[in-house]
Amino acid sequence: MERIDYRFKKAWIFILLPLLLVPAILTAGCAGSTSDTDSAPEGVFKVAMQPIVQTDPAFIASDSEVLVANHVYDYLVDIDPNNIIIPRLAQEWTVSDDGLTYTFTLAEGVTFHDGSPFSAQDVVWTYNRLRDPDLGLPTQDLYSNITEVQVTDDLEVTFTLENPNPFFLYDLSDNHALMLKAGTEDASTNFNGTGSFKVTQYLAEDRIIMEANPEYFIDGQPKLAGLEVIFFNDEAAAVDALRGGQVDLALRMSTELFISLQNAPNIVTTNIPTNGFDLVRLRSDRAPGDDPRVIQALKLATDREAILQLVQQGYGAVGRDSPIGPLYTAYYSEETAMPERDVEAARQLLSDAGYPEGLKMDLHVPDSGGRPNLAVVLKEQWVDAGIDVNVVVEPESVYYGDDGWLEVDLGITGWGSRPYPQFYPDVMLRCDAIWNESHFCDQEFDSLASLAGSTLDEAERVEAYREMQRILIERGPVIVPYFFAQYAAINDGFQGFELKAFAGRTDFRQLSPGQ
Amino acid sequence: MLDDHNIKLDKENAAPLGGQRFLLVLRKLYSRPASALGTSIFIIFIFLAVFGPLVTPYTATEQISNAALQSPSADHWFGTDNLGRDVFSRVIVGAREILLLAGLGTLLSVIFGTSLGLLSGYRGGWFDETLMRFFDSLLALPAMLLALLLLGTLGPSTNSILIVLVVVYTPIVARVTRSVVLDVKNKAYVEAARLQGESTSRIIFGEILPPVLPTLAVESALRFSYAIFLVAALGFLGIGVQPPNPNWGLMVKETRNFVSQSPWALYSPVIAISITIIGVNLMADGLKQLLESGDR
Repeated sequence: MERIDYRFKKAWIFILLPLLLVPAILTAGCAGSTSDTDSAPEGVFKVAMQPIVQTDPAFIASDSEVLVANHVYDYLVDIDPNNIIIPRLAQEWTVSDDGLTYTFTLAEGVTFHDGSPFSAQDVVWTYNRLRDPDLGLPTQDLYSNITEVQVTDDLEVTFTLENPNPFFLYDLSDNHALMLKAGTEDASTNFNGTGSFKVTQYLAEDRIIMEANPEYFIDGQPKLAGLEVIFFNDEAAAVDALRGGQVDLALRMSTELFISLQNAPNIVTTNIPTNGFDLVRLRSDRAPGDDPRVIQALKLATDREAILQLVQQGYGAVGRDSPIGPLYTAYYSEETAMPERDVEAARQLLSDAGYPEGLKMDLHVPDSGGRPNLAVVLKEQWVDAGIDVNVVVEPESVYYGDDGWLEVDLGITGWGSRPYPQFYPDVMLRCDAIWNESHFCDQEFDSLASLAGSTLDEAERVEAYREMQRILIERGPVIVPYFFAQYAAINDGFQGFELKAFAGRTDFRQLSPGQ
Repeated sequence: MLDDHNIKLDKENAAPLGGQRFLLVLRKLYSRPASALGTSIFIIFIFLAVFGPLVTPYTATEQISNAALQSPSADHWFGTDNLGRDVFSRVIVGAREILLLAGLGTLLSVIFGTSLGLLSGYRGGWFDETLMRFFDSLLALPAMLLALLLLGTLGPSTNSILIVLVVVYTPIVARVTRSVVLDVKNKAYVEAARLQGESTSRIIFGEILPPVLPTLAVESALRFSYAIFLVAALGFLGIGVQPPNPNWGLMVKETRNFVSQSPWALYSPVIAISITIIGVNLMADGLKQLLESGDR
């Protein structure tokens, strides 16, 4: 097949060459780009990532799960590396003046992998599933503000909101909001998306093999013939596989591994700032965390600058115990001063709280990234203040499994970078937040979070975020020691790679072989 | 055979008891270069484990500010690791940790293994059959797999590792002991003791145990070196002792990502593990040769 095709092409070019010669010389650049978009997909790209557990888009959480789903399915709207909303399945949209009605026009000629056409019906079904209170999916809270999703034309969908939401387009592009076919019964096994790649084989805990979707609705994409996500439990092993050429890309690695890849042959490294952070949190709804003096003592015993140097090798930024990092230039505030490290004051607070002999606790930490190191540094810093923690390092599957991370008193959780800050209070800090791991419940904070998430007045929102940061510094049961950088290292035989702050949303549709 | 060996020892030393007998074994170990080296290494590490932590310049967990990833120097003989901890101090304190844990685990396995082996070999019958088939089933599993299973169930802690060592090594010690017992229990002097009406425990511990002891010494030394290896390997896999414990295996795990920046922090515990295991193995080899030459 290939040979015939090749010979045909060759003959064709031979006959037309004299005719094309003059215009070709005049428009040398164009000829190149034309042949680029016409060229068949080529090359198989192999990505090393953590094993995936969830395959139903409604339940995906880890970078690797999102990465796989992002290639099998499509979002309605997407977010570019500069955090700007761009079209994907929705080509264009209009917003009513009161900010309550959003109307989207969908792309034409989109088909699912099983050949059936994609229509407004599928969008409505997908969002109704994600927000259905009876199903209780993780996105239910996020979409509780939607009153109705309607098919207004074959390729037109209208969302009606209860309250204005300035971040609604970002919410529509939530990691889980991948378009399924209406009526899909088992979304975790059938992989029937509209996405750029089709799943040909899924070997649990080993790899997932995908081939280019020739019917993909964007012309010339994907440029690769195949995509394989190979599962590695161990970051160092993934990096070794990259060095050895068994994989082409390693994402989401520790800083020390990233440093070790500098100057490695045939490997290009890249890093971008993110709002991702490690959250040290104390359960505040039961002893000992229900006494605000205990969390104050932990905060006073922590030296964040030293942690950034030791754990992140100085990459990233120092945290201020709030998930609103310096990346959100409009909302980040340094107005409330961080208290200086003071172990004596911490000791006194513990004593006042009824722990004159100090405090003994288990510190649960997943075995990924710099988290075990963070735990060890905290142990050493806190012991000065009489807080003796026993570090318990667990595989991520154990730490997050059975929702254990929501139960433990003292834990360290990694949070990925999001395009806008409202996600964090909504999902982990409000009284009724689904992943409220610190079990924090503060009425003032909640009303500020509601205001920030609904007002269309930007100045009001800035003020609300500033106040929320003050509350978290003063009494939030959370310590954010640093924000990390996102790292990737890729085989230099590929081009068109663009890393995103949430590594899982990095997509390979534009990636192609070539230097 | 083995009683002949005792007689021979008797000839060489009028009173081969207690300390004197120990010195005799030591002298014999030092008569061969390989076993002399192994024994020296072993003694040095025991010495370091006992007295080392008293003289280390830093504690094993102290994070010296602004001193991460330093090269070896007068202040830090083996340099510092990524969190600014003195690697020399960690290796020395780690020697105590690992020798204590592996030693205790070996001791318990030897005690349990010997008791069960003696009982099983001497009594025979259904007791022997049941116990040995049970041990066979444990031995059928690779030691590491068994360790992973147990630690997965028990959760990682020092006590769990002790349990792992006992469960993994007791069957091996018991089998070795039993094999010697089977050989010894039909000897004339055991028969004579039985006819004299001596109690079972007197026969087991008074008549059968002594000839088993030399084999047991070799086996214990071997088990000890495997135990060091297992404790370090579990530490490396991150399911053994938890950070910031200066377990050598855990140190390798923690510092291996920094190998391009601070190789000394990685190689120090690696070399410590290798030297200790080689030392103990050479010593065990010496003991074995000593035993065999005694037989001849």
